[in-house]
Amino acid sequence: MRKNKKAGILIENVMFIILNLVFLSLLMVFLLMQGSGIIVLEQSYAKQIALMIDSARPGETIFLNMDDAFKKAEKNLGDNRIVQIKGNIVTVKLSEKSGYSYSFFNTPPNSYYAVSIQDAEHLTSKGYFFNFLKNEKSSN
Amino acid sequence: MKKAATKFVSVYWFVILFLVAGGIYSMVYIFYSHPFDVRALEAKTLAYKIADCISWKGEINLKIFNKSGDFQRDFDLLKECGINFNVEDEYGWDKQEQYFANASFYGVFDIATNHELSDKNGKIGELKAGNSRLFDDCQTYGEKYKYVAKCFNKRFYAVTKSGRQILIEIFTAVRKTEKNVK
Repeated sequence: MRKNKKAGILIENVMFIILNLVFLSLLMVFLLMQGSGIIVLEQSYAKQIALMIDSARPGETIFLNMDDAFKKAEKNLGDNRIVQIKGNIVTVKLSEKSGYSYSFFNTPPNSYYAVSIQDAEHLTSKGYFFNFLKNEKSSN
Repeated sequence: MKKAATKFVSVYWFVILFLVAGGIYSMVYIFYSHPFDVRALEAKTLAYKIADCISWKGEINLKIFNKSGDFQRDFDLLKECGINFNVEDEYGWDKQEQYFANASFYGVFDIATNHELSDKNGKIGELKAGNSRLFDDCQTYGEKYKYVAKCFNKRFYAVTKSGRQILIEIFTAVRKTEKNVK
């Protein structure tokens, strides 16, 4: 009788701990999923790239590690071209239905310098190179 | 076993679980549904870009103050500094400019004539670009105007080619409220 009671208490505690662990791990998964969600990533990368371009100077090359964004895009888009720059607007697209655009002001005239993007496949982390090329005809 | 299970996997247990989960879910949802506000950084970067364009290594651009030290009012701030205030065609932004930049020039000390000018009163001229209404938004305080625009102010000294000492005050404002504030 006493043995049965002790076993009952043990099972109660084990069940309580297991349920708590399950609950906490589910919450953790939810939090991590929210933080690395497509909408959050698109917005943060678009704004990050826009700010990066705004503060860049001609002749500079900046590499932006976008590993997590590439992983999401491969799953949802099946394409590597996730960053597009048209005029002075940068668009980050990680799935068919989504996409986030943000403008930057640092757009020099045709005779000054240009922005180009390259995939960095030779590096361990996947990302984009942003080259701010100096135009030879530039007067500055 | 059955007794223990019914004790813990009870209605009350699930109520507590749902309450805690609901609270965390709503907190996370509220946190991530707010966009990242980068306007203050944009305004600062814009001011520094204009500062670099106006004066390099302490000497003012010859296109703003010519060799004889005269202020050139027709200096195009956007064109000369490589700045574009065009924005994405969303939220009706194409009808209302989202940026404003102003550079004011004050005479401080003329090395050539050894004549000192008063600080604020010695305004020589100013260069403007963008939506000037954003300037007023930054001067208005109160809860209602808190999210209208983010502004940045920068003051520094530089010298013209002719040796004139100039105080330069740069003011920048970025609106883009819809994409940065909820």
